Amino acid sequence: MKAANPNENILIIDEDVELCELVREYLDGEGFEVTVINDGADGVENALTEDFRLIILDVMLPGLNGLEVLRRIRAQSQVPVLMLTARGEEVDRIIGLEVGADDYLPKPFNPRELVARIRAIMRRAYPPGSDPAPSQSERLTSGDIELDLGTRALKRAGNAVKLTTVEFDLLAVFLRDIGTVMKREELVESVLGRAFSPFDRSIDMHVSKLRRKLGNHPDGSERIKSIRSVGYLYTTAPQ
Amino acid sequence: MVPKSLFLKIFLWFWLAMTLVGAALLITTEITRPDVRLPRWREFTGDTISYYAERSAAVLEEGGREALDSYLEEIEQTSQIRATVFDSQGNQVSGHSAPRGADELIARAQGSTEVQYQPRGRGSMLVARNAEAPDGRTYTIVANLPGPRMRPPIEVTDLIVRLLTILCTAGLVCYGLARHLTSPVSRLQTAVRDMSAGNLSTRVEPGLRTRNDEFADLGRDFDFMAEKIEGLVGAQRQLLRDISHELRSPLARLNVALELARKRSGADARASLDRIELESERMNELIGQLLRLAQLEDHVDGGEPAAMESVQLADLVQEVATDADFEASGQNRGVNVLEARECVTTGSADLLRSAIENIVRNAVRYTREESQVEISLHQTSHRHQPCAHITVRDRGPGVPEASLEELFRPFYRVGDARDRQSGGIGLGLAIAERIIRLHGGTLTASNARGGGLQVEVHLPLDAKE
Repeated sequence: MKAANPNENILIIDEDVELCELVREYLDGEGFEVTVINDGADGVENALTEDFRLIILDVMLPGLNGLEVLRRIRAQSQVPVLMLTARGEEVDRIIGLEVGADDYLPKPFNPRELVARIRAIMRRAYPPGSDPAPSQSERLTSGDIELDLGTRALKRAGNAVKLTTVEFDLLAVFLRDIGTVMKREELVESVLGRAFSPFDRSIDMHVSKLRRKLGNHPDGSERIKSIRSVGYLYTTAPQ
Repeated sequence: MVPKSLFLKIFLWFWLAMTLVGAALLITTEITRPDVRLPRWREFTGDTISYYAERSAAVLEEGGREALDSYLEEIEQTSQIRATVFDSQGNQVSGHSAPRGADELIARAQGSTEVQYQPRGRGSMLVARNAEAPDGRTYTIVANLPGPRMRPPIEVTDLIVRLLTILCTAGLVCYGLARHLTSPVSRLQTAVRDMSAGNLSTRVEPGLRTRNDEFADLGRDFDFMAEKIEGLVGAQRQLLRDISHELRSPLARLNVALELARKRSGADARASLDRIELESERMNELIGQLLRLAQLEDHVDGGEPAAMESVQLADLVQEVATDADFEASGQNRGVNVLEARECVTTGSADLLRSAIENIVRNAVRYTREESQVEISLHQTSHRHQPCAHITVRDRGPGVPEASLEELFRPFYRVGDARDRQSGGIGLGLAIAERIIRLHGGTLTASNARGGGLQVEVHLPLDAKE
């Protein structure tokens, strides 16, 4: 277990006391120091008086609503905020981003994804100014695709493309082994982090979504190919 | 032709009845109407014949037979009455030959001081009158008069006008009556139809408020029932939504606890933890779909139109098919677009995409290995409205005929074991159906010839300007 880093203190504003405890425990193990507030108004006060590196804010709060909390925080502070939204509530998400949330995560979330996002937001908000470690800005490139593993950002032909955590990890796995057939089982284990089950179609869905977001190679040839009964293949970019 | 609608039945029967009664009345009054002309005619002819009789007797007395002859001649010329004079023995004294069969009439006249009548053919009438000459002898004058003019035959135009009047009045009254009787029925009918189409907030009362009869009672009872049903359905949906929402909180905790367990456990527990994660993901998926379904049903019931944008169905179908084919190819299955004609509709592209996606995914799930799911899109017309017809056909086992209707019901499963293995939740088609309905279209399922399920979408298209 890593030692808690006082520079990585996080405030969670969420009504669900038990969930907050579990998240605190999990983030603790990831090296974050967590403060929990279960009420919107107290949350605003805490967020503005203490110096947090990041705030996790639930949209559904009793009393002062999450969006209002965000508005009040933003009036005085630029601290990074990650919003937790109810899945499918498109409106909450859009308004949240408009009001100034840095990212959002639908509830229920996978804590691994939560940590990945927290790290990504922090990297963007607090770039390592003094000693830029080259390992942190490792890049994978192929043709028009440029994947920055440090900031977890993807650019295609210079334009940013937004990917989910799973899609990002999937693309990273593909780019590391361009031209190699990746077995479905391997992908499930390395990207979703669990054993493959024959009825589990989620990896196919993720590949399909990634494929749609990336499109074909600029010359029109297929970027990601499906190999019957085996898995998927990221093709070499045409010269 | 037997009229089917209650309105027509009531209207036509009452109209027929009233018209028949009217016509019957018209005819009977015409037949039994007392003829006022006969007494007047008798009075007039009686006076005339009496005058002629007395004059004839006097003329005979003064001037003999010749004078009488000329007098009778004169009468005939002035008034076209041919008269004959008899003496008391019944012998003809003067005038034209006696009309045949007058003997009895003469006998009657001689025994009376009144004018005697005897009808003859063609409406004429023999008239006889006794008269006493100044010398005391009695004579009888007999004349053949045209009878009283018979009642003029009823004029055809007159009759038609009267019948038309009856028809029109009866028609108007019956129309009103039929309207009055059937309008609440048709109102109730629309309300019931509205309700079964899903509009639970339908009420009939406002339209029946002015009435105070059994129909009004029925309307109030209907409204009461509708209110109950609306409340029950609303409560059920609210419950489903609340449960779904509330399930998310424990699920969120479960996910975090799971990752904590992962960190702390050894490799032995991994497979089980993976399984827990997969199941929790499925549960989350299910909750998401349930909430989606509830939201869609609210939209459908509220009659809220989906987001309004122009949607190119051909592009949409192609995209969905390409993605599904990509996913299916890993499972030795394929998705093939046979035909995709240009079709533009108005609605929400996102919703329509997910509807078509759900249908295609369902087909991919059931089609045999090494087989192709076939999609076609073309334009037809339904009730003179241009309409897109999308067919998705798989090469799977199909569905028992009896279950076809049930296919769009949430959580419906044809065969439990197979379905669960195939990973279906049972909400995909239900969601698709609500989306299509929200866009004013219909979704139907049938077993295709040669095996496999065929799902058909009919979507109204933008009318071409």
